[in-house]
Amino acid sequence: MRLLLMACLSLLAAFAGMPAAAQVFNPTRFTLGNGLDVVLIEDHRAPVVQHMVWYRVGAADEMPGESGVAHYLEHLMFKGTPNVPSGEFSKIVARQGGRDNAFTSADYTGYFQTVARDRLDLVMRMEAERMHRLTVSEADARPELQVVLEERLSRTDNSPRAQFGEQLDAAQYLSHPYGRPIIGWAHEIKALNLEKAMAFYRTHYAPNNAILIVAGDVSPAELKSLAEKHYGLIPMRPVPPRLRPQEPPQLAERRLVMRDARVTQPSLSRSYLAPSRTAGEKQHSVPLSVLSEILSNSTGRLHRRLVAGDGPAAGAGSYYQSLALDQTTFNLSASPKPGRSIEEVETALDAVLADLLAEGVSEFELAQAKNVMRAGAIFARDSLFGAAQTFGAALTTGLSVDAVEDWPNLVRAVTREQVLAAARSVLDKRRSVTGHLLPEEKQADAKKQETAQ
Amino acid sequence: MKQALRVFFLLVLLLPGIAFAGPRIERVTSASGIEAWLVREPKIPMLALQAMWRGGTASDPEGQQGRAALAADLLTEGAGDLDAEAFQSALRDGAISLDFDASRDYLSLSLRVLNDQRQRAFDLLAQALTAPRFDDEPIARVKAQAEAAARRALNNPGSMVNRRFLATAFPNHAYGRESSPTLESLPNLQRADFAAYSRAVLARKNLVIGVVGDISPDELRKLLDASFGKLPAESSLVQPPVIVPKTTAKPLIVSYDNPQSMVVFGGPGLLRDDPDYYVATVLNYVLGGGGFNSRLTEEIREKRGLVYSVGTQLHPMLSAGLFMGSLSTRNDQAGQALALVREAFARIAQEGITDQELADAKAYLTGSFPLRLTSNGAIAGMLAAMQASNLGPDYIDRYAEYIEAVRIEDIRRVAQRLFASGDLLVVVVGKPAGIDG
Repeated sequence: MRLLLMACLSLLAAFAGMPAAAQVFNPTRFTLGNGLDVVLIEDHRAPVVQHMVWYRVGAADEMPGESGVAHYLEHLMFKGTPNVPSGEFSKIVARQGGRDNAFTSADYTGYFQTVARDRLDLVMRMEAERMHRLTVSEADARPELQVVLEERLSRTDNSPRAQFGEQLDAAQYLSHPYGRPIIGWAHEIKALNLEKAMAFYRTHYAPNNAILIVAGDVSPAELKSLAEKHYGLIPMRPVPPRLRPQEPPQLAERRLVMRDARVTQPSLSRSYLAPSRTAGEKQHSVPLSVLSEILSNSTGRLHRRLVAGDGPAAGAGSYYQSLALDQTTFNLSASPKPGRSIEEVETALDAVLADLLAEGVSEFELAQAKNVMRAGAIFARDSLFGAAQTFGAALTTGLSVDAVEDWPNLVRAVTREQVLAAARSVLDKRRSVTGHLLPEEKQADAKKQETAQ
Repeated sequence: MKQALRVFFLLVLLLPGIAFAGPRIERVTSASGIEAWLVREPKIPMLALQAMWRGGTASDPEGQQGRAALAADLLTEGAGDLDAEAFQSALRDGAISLDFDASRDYLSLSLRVLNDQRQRAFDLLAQALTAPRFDDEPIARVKAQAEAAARRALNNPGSMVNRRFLATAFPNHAYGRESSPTLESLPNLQRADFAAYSRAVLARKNLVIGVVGDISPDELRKLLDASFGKLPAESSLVQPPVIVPKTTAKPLIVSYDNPQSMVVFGGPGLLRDDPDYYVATVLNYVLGGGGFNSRLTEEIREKRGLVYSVGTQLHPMLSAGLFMGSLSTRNDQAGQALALVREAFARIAQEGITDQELADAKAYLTGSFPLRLTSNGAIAGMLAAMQASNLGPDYIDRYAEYIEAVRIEDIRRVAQRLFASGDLLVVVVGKPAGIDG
């Protein structure tokens, strides 16, 4: 990500549980002759448009040893085309009163601008040019690699939690590249250069590997003619199929412990390899979204059993990223109340899961979760960015526009039996990764142990 | 290539200025005298409400840091006949989002609800405002969470640096104390304290309300009466005295073993009603507020690759104006980065800004302002903030005018006022090289 964009990340997280809605966005879609897919979500409340180009390529499409190249390229995309000199892209957008940024995930890379509706033509022209005419100089590429290394320090290495997150992902995936950090391992980032980034660009950036998403105050006819004008002439190019190494069956539970002097509060995390909407046992995916909602809401099972009253945890939650090109994870996390142990929290968490696997969820829990998720689909219409983001994440991970639009119906149809079947299929401790992030053992304790030995 | 460039920029320049008519604001007053600013928006069957009460964490008595913050959390943890679980479950049943949050100067309320659950939402809101329970269970739970967070904050570079910065800038003042509970203050926070704060802050004269939604003024009046109408007239909280942030001769270094140094720098800024507020807004954009268009980003990130992000902000609080910026960089580069910051401050104080910079800043600030107003929730927040700052309902339409009125000589004057002394408060958390503390 080029600039801190946490808001965007959390938005996406919110949408992962509840992607958009049937007969809510009513998107218009078409495909240009060169294969560029176009999605328009009309919203005429304000004379503003959100313009986004999403590429069907992300960190999980990198070659082994070149982790971070997708994200480094995202930074270099601001470093010049024949008509927009290096560093000028964002300045031009700003001079037009607009805002722009970009982001990289494991499965996609996106670029966006928010502008007044009459500036759409301008940003489309610039975005189209960098789709096929990126020209970056060595002099610009080198300091940008230092920026990326600083970004890695800021995001990851400054925080033991983030560092441990990387270790957990790496343990979760034995073979699949989801085990690599999106920003890249530090030693591999250092070995990147302009040539490698441009090779990645030439391999993956093409109109037929991209999706244009516009949300806001523009009509389908206007957008169609603008899209033809700016993107229509970019030649189609062959792009490699997205064939990533897949995971072998997990036979042994994996447990990780990290101790760090900077940690003052222990935390527990648990993840299970899980199907996404488009990979693995995908019939379980929507029920898993419902299950996550049931587990983690403010009065949900995790709260009632782990946090409320004299429960051992200060906080507990679950997270399921349903939009992923390959198998994803179902995640649980908790941290002990001061004075309580992480072991106690894990025992209590396992008890919640054991009961869930034995009895399933109640009709009341299911109804409440569905209610909240359906309302979420209506509230989603209140955000231009969120609407565009939902379609982008879905379409770059193999989901169709119709499947996104059908979300409320899919949620409505989920039964208790399906939630139970999904839980039983995924929440098997033998196929889990459990992490304990702990403070450094105290000097005093260490000494005591020595004496005891 | 050069020629193509020129053609391109010419095309950019030919674009017309941005004309944007703001949303139509209706001032709605209920029978009991509750006023709200309403924007009717029928396209989505929902309502967004933002309310703000003057009196936030700065009202925490000494030794009771976190009183307002925890009370805000507890207001939705049981009210009237409903205990915490029943109250939260009722919110969930209606897919109602109802949250209180305390900042330094305000207690804020955000409500978001679908049309068909509106009555239920305002019933629950009325209960939270007039009959919060503050039961033992949620208090113990919220305090345990706060204790865990306080322990985490002890070793979080961002918390560490802000704590030290504010304590130094505002000695013996409420703004210099923590706004979250601390390990020391938690034992001093009891049920009676939360109840006292909520009774003191939840009144009518210190309240402003913004509403956006699919609702008529008459319907809104009824709901306002039923929820806010029963509050007492006056708040008993006292705003802390106005204070000018202090600076120090030398940087303060908090030694911490981390790969990067986090550097926070700043000094006196402006109050919101300062006549130079818009001048300072433009100045801040050019110096460090404008992301990729700011001088600090250009010098420190783009040219030298020393940071991922560097920026400055104006914080116009009710009792102090603060100018503040931050960056993070590898420990061995900290001295170099800070020197570049000082250089940029000195240069802008001495030379002001260029005509081009002024034009670019104005274009961005006037053009991007309406982009903030694309969601019902954001507009409701703006309506409340406008009232809190005593801005008229025409503020949205006149914002561009205020910015366009800024002249280059104004910028020079305000840059000198803020930066000519060279005094900066600098706090560093890390193991910085090249900085003498």
